[in-house]
Amino acid sequence: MAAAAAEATTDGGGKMIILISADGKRFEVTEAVASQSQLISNMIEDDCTENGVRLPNVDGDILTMVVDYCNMHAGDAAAAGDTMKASSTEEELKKFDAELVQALENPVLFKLILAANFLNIKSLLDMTCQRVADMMSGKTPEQMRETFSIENDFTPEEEAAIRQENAWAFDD
Amino acid sequence: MDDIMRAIFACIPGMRSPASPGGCLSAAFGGGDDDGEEGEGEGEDRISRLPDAVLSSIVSRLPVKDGARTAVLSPRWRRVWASTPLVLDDADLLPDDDGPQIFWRDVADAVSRVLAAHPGPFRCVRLTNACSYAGSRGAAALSRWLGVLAAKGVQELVLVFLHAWPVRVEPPADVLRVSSLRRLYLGLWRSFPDTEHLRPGADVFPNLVELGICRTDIKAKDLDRLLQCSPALETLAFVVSYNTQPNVRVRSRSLRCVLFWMSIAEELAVVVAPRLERLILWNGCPCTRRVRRDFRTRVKIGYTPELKVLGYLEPRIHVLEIANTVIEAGTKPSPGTMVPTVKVLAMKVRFGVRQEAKMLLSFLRCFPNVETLNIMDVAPVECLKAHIKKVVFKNFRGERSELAFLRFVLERAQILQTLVVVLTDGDGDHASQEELGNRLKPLIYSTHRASKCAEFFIFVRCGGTSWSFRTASDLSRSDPFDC
Repeated sequence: MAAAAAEATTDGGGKMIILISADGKRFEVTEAVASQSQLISNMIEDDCTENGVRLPNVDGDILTMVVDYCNMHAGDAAAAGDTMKASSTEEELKKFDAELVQALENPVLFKLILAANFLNIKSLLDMTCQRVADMMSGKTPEQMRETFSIENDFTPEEEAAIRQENAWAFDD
Repeated sequence: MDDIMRAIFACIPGMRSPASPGGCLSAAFGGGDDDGEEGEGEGEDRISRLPDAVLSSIVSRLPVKDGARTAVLSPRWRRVWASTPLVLDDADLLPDDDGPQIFWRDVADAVSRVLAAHPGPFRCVRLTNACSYAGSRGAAALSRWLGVLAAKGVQELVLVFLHAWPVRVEPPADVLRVSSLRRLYLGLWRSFPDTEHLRPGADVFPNLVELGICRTDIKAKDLDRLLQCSPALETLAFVVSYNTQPNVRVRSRSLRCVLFWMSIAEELAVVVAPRLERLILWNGCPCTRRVRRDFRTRVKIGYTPELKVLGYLEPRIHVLEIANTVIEAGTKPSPGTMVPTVKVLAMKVRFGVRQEAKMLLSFLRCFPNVETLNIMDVAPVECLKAHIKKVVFKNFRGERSELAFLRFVLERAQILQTLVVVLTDGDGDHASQEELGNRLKPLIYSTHRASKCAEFFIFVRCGGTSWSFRTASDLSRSDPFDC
C-alpha cells in the first residue's frame, strides 16, 4: 500500500526523499509529501536528506500509515490547478481521516501518536490526540485506568485527598 | 435555544450550544467503542509513555470535569492536569442526565471550585449558565471570579447571559482589570461597565486582540475609551446589536477588522482607523421585524487609508457617507467621494426596486478600484426559481459577463432541463470555437447547479442562427426562437 502510494506521487514532479523506518523499510515520497512533517521540512531546508532520512523510533507498519496520511493530505498542494480534482479530494480527505481515526486502537494509536509527535505533523497529532480524548471522555478514573491499563501509584489516602480536592468533578 | 442565543454563540470561537452539555456525545462514542477491545492492548500502559506535552494536549481536549478526573489517575497525570492551561466551559458542569431542573447554585459553586483548584494559567473560560445565576445575585461572586481570572492570567473570556434569563445586569467593573485577556466576548448584559475611571491611554488591555460586544449596550464614550485603552486590538465585533446602539463611532490605531454583525444602529462611523482593512456589515438580523421599515443606518467612512474589503452594503438600509458627503442616486463622483483602496466589495440589492438598482451604480462609482464584486440579489426571480425549463443563449462570444449570466441562471433555475449555448459564427476577432468550448467547460462541470432534474442537458452548438420570417411564422414549432 505504501509502495503504491509512493509510486503514485512520483509523476507529480518534485524531488524524492527516502524515509527509512526502524526495521529498515524504505519509503520514497516527494518533498511536498514529506514536508508535512516539520522535522523533515527542517531537514530539507538544511540539505541533509541526501542519503535518506532514518527514523529509528518509527516502525515500518506505523510509517506506512504516516506516509499514507501524508500522501492523502499533500493533495492540496499537488493537485492545485485542477479545481475539479481538488474539490473531490476534500470530501475524500474527510472520509479518509474519519476511517483512519475510527480504526485506531491501542496500541497502534499510541505508536502513531508518538510518530506524529516525533515527526512533528501537527494535523495528525491533533487528530490522534482528539481520538484519545474521545475515548477518555465521560469515564470514571477507574474506567480510564482499565481502558488504558494505567497503573495507579497513589496510596488510597493520597487518592482520597485528591478526590476531595476536586470533589466537583466526581459528584455525579 | 432561541435565535438570538444561537446567533451569538455562532460568533464566538469554540462555543458550543448550551443545550447539549459537553462530553455526552463523545462519551457515548468512546464508551461504545472500546468495550472489551482495549483490554487486549497487551495490558501495557502505553498512554503514560507519551511525553508530557502530548498528555497535556489530550487533557486540554477533555471537558473540564473529565480533565479534572485524570488528576487521580497517577501522580504524573495529576502534574499534567495542573500544568495544562485550563479550558473551562460551564456547559460542561451541567448535570449529565439532562434532567428538567438545573441546580444553578451547584453549577456556580463548581465554577468557584474549578477556578480555585487549577493553579493556572487559564487559556479559556466561558461562562453562560453560571454567569447568569451569579450575575443576577449581585456582583460579589462575579467580582470574585474575575479576581481569580485576572490573577491566573486568563487569555480568553466569554461572559454571556442566557437570553431566557429574566434579569439583565451590568458586569462588574472588575472585567476591566483582567489585563491578560487576548479575546473577550460579552453577551446579553444590560450595558458595558462605566469606563470613567480609566485613564486615556492606559494599557487596560495591553494584549487584547479581539473584542466582541453581543447585544450589550456600550455608550459612545465608553467604546471610545475602551478602544484607546486596547493598543493591540485588531478585531472589534458588534453582534445582534439593534435598538440599543444609537451611534457606533470607531477611532483606533490598531483595528484591522470591524464587524457589524446582524446589527443595526443609526450611525456606524469609522472616523479614524489607519490600519482598518475590513468593514463587514451583515444585516441578517434574527429580529428585524421589530425594526421600523424605513430605518436606515448611516455608514460613514472617514480616514481609512488601508480599507480593502467592504460589504454587504445594502441600499435598502444603508445610507453611505464618504468624507461627509452623502452618496445619493445622482451624486457626481469626485476624488472626495471615492475610496480608491477598496478591492473587494459586496452589495445586497433588490434588482426589482428601481431606486436600489440605481444606487448600485452610484455606490460602485465610489470604489473605482474594485477587483472583486459580490452581488447578492435578495428578491428571488420567480420564473427562474419555479418555471424555466429551457434556456437558449445565442451568439456566445465567451465573454466574462456572458459566463457570469449563464452561471447566474444555472445556480438559480431549479427545474431547468435544457440549456442551449449557440457559439458565435466566429467572424471578426472572436476566439475560435474550440476556445469558446473550453471557456464553457467550468460551467458545464459546475457542481453548483440548482436544477436537480435527472434529464438535464447542456447543448453547445455552432453555426449562429437561422432565425427567419419562416421559422417565426411556423405554428408547428413550439418555440420559434430556438433555431
